[in-house]
Amino acid sequence: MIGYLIKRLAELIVALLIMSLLVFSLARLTGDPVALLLSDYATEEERSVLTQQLGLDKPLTEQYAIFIKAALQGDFGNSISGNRQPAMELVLERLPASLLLASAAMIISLLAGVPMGVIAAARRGAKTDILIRVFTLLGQSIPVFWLGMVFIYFFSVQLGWLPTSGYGSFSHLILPATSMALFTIAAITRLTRVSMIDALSSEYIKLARIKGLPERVIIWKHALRNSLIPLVTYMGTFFAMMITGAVVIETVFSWPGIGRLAYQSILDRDFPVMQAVVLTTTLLFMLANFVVDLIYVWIDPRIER
Amino acid sequence: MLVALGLFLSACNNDPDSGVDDYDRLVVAMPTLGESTFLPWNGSTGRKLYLDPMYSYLIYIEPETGQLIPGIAQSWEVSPDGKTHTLYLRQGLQFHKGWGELTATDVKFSIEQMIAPEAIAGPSSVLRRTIREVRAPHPYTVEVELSIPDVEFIRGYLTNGQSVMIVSKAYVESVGQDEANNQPIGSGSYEMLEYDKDVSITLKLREDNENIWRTSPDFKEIHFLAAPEEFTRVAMLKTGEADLAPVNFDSINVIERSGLQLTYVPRNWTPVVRLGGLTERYNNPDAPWSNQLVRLAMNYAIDKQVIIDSIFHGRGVVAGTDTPSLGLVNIEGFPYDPDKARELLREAGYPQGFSMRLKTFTTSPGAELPIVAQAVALYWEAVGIKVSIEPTNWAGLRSAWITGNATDVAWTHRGFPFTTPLAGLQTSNYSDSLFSTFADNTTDDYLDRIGEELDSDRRQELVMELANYLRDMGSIVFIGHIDEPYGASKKVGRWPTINEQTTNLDMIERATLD
Repeated sequence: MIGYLIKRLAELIVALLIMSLLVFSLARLTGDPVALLLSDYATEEERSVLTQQLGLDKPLTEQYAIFIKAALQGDFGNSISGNRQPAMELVLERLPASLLLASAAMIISLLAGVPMGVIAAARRGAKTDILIRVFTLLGQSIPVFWLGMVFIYFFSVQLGWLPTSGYGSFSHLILPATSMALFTIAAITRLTRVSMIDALSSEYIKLARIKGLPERVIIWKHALRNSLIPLVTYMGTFFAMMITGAVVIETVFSWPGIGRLAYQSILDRDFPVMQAVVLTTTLLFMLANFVVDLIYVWIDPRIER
Repeated sequence: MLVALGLFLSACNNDPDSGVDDYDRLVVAMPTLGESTFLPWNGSTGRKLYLDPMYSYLIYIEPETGQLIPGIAQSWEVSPDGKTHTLYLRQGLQFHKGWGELTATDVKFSIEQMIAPEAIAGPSSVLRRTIREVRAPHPYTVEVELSIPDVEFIRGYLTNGQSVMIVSKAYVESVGQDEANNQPIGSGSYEMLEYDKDVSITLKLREDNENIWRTSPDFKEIHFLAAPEEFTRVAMLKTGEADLAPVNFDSINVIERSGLQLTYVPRNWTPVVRLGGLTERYNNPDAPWSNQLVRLAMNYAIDKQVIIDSIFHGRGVVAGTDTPSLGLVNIEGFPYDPDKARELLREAGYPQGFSMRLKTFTTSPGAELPIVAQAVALYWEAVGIKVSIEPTNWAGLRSAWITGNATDVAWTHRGFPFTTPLAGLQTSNYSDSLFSTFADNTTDDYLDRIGEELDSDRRQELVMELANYLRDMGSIVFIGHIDEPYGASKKVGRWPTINEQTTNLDMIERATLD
């Protein structure tokens, strides 16, 4: 187990280094933040001074070396816009909102997706199964931003039940979390359905049926437990995707998470914030998968070998 | 069951609870709260909407007439050489929360902070170059000495059309810049109540209301909410979650159908097409539009009135300048004459037209720029100019523009009103300016002469001569001066904002509801 842990940690460090190089170089290909920071009255001389102040006059290799050295000490530099706040501080300020939204969406996804997958598998070919399959198809096809707008239209504008957007109360969480969950509900439903179909046709289930166990117990206790293993594998990825990929939902619902921070930092060419966001989310993504791997090894020790 | 669910969810709805009811609260939904820094010199002019009600300016622009009216300064004068501007301050103005009387020391401090090397406010750059010294010879007298003469300095930089707000020196020095940046102390009608980063800013009417001196606000609270998505802002207006929000022209029909109001900031931006490579620094003689006849053809080929009527709902006028500043609005735009455009192209040696790239992106205001690009391309296509439209973003283009990498392309852009015509012309048409798009010896010469001219009437004559020269040269492709639309709830009455900047939220009147 320790050997496995060391191997996975080494992979994580290498991936982070590659990602740091990618984000560092790609960010600089997209434009120059100096152009945005200068006022409309600026002169060439002021451009040179600002470029120097931000350290952007140095060769790229030197800039990267400075960045990596500081990043290893947890310093991602200061944002180059506004109050010049430390970049990592900005990310950490936004992280709780993103975690809250992702967790809520994940809970909704599991509560809806697993039972639907089980029911669809148990009634394979029946009308219920067809309905659920149509739902999953729609869930994975409907663009999230459009769904968010439809939810706002019905639940806020027409019915007046929920606020259109914002942050700070339970009611503000419902629409963005539900919009975000729809895709994952569909994915979890499909995964659960497929694994359940496999499980329900296995020998041990046949044996359970021969022994006369009630169908409810066979499905919800024996078959479901074994069907969850592939689902666990994907959970980490889903969760990380919800944290890192919520730009659209956060924009539509004015949710102050790291998705919006990332988007704004790209528009502002705010390299330090961009780098801090990407590396933090990469780390989160990899940690989530790492934890899932550990759970998987714990469930099925053969994987370690 | 559905009704029960609805009631439960409605009960979960948390409105800000500060003891002020909806009737007394004005809620403004904004695409962004900007940098959310609260010291005037620590961020962009995008913060003016929420900073202006908290701070005061030396001089104000009268919304109806555009004339200067007293603010903190009750009178002012300019020395004969145009270099020393003396302001005589009103006595007895008090800062919020007992931070004392506003005096010349505070004014001197505020201007000095604005020109400090680390200041990043919009006018900091030009003020650093212009101001030699700020003096406070008397508690209620301030002298600003310039290094170059500028008889319009006060109108240009010390009014509420700009960002020189007056802060309490004692407060900033006592708590430090970091603290002062989060808890602003000004002398305006409102003071900060609550700030939730990237979510909301709440201002309340100052508690010592005997010290409210400039306005008679109708609302006890102004609540700013960040709502980056247009659809969401419109939905907030419909549900009553917001009373005022900037909207795109696309949303106007929806807002009208919803029984909401529309209010406009008059003529405060100008869609244009800029042409690369027309300055001495970044000159491109190979671009077809380096020929004046081609530029004129490009102007004649477009029916601007149709663009204004169809894209901007008629809320604008055809323009011959890119700066809707006082004095320049009367420069006549080019008429629509496609035959003349074809003739000019033939004369210029392009009888079959030519191919070109047009970059486009959105701004705020200016979400319509990509549609303007489509319309312009169709008009040009009709006279033989084949246009390839390339969507881009402002950051990338701005970077290319100032580094000489945009000399072979044209781009849609937004001109905006400067507080003086000279400031606008210096930015767009002076060789030394990083953001000039058309500059030659004539424009430089005019701008030098205008700057040195001490006689106001002669100065205005020179400004008009230069503006006419720029129009006749076809320096850019002019479209129109356009209003900026805001959706408003029925609670919102008259909003006396000014053309130079969107401001004066503290002067919005509450509509009388039937």
